[in-house]
Amino acid sequence: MTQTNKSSLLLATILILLAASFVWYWWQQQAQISQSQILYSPQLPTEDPIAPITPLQPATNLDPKVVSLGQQLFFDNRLSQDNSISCATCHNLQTGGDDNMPKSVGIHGQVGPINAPTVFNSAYNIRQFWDGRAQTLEEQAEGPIHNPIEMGSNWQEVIYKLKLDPQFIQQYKTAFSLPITAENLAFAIASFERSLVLLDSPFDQWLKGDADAISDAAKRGYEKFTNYGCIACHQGAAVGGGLFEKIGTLNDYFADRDNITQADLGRFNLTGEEDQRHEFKVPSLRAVSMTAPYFHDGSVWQLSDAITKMAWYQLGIELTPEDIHDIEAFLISLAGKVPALEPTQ
Amino acid sequence: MHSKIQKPNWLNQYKHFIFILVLLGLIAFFFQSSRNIDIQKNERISQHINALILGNSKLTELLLKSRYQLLNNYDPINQTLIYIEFHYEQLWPIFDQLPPVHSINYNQIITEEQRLLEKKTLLLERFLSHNAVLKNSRYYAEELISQTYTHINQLQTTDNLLQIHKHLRKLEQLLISPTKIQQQTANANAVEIQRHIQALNNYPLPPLKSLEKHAQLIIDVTAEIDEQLNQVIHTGNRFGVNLRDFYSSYIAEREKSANIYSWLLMILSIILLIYAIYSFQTIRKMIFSLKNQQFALDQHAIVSITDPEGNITYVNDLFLKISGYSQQELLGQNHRLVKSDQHSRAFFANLWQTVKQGQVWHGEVKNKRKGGGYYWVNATIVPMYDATGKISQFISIRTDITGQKNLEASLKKAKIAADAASQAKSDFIATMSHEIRTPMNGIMGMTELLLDTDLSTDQREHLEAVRYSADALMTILNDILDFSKMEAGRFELQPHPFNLQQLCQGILTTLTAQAQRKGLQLTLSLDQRLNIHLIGDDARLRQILLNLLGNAVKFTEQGHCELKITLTSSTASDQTKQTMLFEVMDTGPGIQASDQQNLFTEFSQADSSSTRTHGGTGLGLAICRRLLNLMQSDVALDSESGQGSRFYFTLTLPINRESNETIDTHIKSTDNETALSRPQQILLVEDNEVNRKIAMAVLKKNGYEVQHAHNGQEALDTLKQQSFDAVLMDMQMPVMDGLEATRLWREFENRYQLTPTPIIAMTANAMLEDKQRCFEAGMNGFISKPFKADTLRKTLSETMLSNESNA
Repeated sequence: MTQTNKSSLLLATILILLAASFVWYWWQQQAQISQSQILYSPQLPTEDPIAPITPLQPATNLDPKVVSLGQQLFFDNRLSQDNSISCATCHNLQTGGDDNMPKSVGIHGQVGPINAPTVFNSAYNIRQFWDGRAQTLEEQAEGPIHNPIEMGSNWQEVIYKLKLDPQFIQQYKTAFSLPITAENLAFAIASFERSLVLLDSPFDQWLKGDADAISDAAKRGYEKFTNYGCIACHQGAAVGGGLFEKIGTLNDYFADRDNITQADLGRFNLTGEEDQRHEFKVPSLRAVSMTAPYFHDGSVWQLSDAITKMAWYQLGIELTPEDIHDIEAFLISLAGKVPALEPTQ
Repeated sequence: MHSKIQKPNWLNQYKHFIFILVLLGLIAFFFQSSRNIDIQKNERISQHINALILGNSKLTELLLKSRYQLLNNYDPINQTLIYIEFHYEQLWPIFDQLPPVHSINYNQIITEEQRLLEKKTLLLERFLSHNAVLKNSRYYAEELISQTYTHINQLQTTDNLLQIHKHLRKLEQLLISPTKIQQQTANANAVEIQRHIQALNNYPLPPLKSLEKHAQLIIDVTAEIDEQLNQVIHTGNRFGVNLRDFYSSYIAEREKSANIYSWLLMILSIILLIYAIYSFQTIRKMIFSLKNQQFALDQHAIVSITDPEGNITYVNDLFLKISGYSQQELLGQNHRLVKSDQHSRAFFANLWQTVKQGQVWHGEVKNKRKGGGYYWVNATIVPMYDATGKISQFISIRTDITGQKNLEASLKKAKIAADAASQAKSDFIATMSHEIRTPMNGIMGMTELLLDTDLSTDQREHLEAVRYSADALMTILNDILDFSKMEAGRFELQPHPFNLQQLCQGILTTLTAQAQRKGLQLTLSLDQRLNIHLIGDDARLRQILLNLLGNAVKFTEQGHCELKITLTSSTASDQTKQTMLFEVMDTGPGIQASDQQNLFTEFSQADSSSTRTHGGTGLGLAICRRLLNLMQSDVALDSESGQGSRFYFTLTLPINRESNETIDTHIKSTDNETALSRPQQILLVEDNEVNRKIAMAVLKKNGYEVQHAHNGQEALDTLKQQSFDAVLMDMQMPVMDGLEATRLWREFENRYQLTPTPIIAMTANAMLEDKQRCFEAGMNGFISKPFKADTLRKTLSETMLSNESNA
């Protein structure tokens, strides 16, 4: 072709490239906006709570497809380095959302430093982990994956493994558009976890007006729970999970237990504030009947023992057996129904 | 003539593109910068900021409620915190993406706000945990006191009941009701609380066991809790508001900047628009002008355009008209469609080579019409380049020169005819010259012979009159012939070395008798410095001087006539030539100014009556003038009526360096005759009876032995049989003419290695080319008829002498 034609072609190509880059740039902008619209948007509280403990509400704004994907991931061993453990290993849904061990065991049989909290009702926690270092469930999901003594992997590895699975890709595509991103995976897991709310516990039914939902012992236990001041910390719909508190406010817990570990320093590890030494997130007691052993160190196997210890260290009182029994009855009545899961592939 | 169209410079082409790209880049930049903040983004940012402000105030409200026991649990507080954190998380990425505005440093703000939020969260945690502890202990203290009440009611003792009640109530007041306790009063209260507890310890009241610890806790926490609440509330309480202010100013700045760029973009666009309009106008003007030019061109020229292979892509109307083809018949055809057979292959090959090399070709081409007719064009073929520098087309512009060509052809014919006519005229002159001279020769020759015999006085007188008339007639004839020759342009000077002094003396000698008869003094003055040996046509110079001086003598009645030659000073530097001023002066009647003009024109004399008085054809002066013109000179006249006349001219002649003789007043012409040992045998070849008689008489008189032949053939036969010392050969003879005979004889001589016989031509033709022909034929000498006796003698002896020396 002649030189004129070549030059015209060159110019046309440059213009097209320019136009294309503009379009791509604009589309990128659009894509980012739509991405954030996927995420769950919290609301301001509209009413004050009518009681210190209120009934659990089911999670809203959850996309069932995302939840389904999250469920699959929750049980997926590929999230661990040697494909041996999944989230469900330590947060076993059939054993109360945790592993019923004082400390969890990661890959290669490595023992962790702290007791695994339950995944049930975890959406109600103001923060995740005992020291509250994760602000959201999405953040929490990253922790075990990247922890060398837990799952010992990373998102890159996980995504790589997942990409090899065409079935997974199919599943993924139902919830998100490709490519597979860590953000989306975490969001899926978190969405699934948000769906694990134990609704319609006997206590909630009693709160809603069913007078016979719980035993008299439980009613008495609730009253004592309130009057003794336990309710000051174990409050809210989740009966806990809403603030940080020192274990051993009145009596020194660690003096009696001895052998202080890093994990025992609690929130202090994160903030470095002296008054937050030995402060932990107040755990939710909703599933407490299922989540033995208790406390951050998983040192107490019996619920009654936990009640006794709490009363002594936090309140400086010795409860009567009757008190303990009533409070135990009350705590047991807090457990709601474990949600039935859709079978996954 | 070769010339080339300027090739396009490729760099200029790319400069243009680069300029366009830069311009586009500038436009894109301005456009992008002028874009105000995205409305959608703006809304989102505003939403988030408002949410933060709202969340913040809600948080404060809830915290206050919680402090004063108006909130049952922390759930709303946590929810609010999550809400704030969510909107905070959403905001920063968007803020990060905002295009920067130079006057606002929002990095600082972001960092500050982040720090404040973290601090606030920490303070919140602290408050909440302390508040929980306070609540816890209060609840428990209340429980304990209530249990104590129950206990003492069960006891049913009225002793100290009032006291206990009082203490308990006081404790209730101090511990449970949420009044604000100042630091100063806290200690006072603590003391009081201790007092009451101490008091109660005196009584058996088991439930109050751990009351002391809780009381202390309550006191400690209460002292701090309000400060902690304050801190939470006031830390980052302007959290959202700061952001809103920042964002407003940011938007304002952005808008300003966007406005500026918007203006710049508009200005740039206007400039571009003006430039575009201007370019457009210029192009239109150019196109219009080009169209005019093309129209003008089409009116005159035959235009065609071909592709690089020669296939026609465009023809104008004149082309169609002259070639007779229609447009459809021509477009797409190769141009050789109109080729005629006039031009060779090489012609077209050269054409193609020239234009393919990028040069302009000019030439005349004969083309063939449709239907067979022909036409000539003067063509210019110009190769045109495309932007890459390759030839893209050839443009041919032609003018119709068929008429011209025809004219050329007829002019050629006319010239040939004219040349033929001129040749005919010359031939006529030559023939006439010969025809007239021959009888003249007879008259003059016979007259001479007669005068050599014994005559009576009367006879002599009469013969001399005849001779005089014959001379005059000869003169007239020569004049006429000379003049004709000059008119025909066939006159040429024949320069050779001569002696100026001898020439002048000869002239004087000729006119002495006449001058003496009229009683005139005749003088010759030669400048002493003159070199007398010159190279020139002496015969013509003699003719001129004789004419002028002769006129002077003729027209002067008394006084004197003078020939004066002066060396002019201008040639002193140049040693090869000599410039002389010739003056012929007389004391005659002079010539009026009015008559002077016509003097030198042919056939006129100063006074027509003078023809009768003085005779002459009136050609003399005209011939003088023409002769002098041929010598790069001209004759001039200085005269007034009654004052005599002075004819003068300047002549520059080359000096003959061969001879170094200077002027000598007593020089005499020497005779070159040498005594010959035996009588010379001459063969006279002459067909004319009279001329033969004359020649034989002269020869015999001078001691030659003569044989004669009537024509060239006879001459050859005679020569073959006998050898002669010289041959006098006439030119025009029947059977065989002189040239042919001479040629054949020379051939004969060559073949048989004979000694060449000198052959002298006798001819009435005195023209140079005739002489040339004679010499080419092999003749040795030349004598013109009619000839004088001594001329003949001289020529013969010279020729034979030179022949002897050559042999």
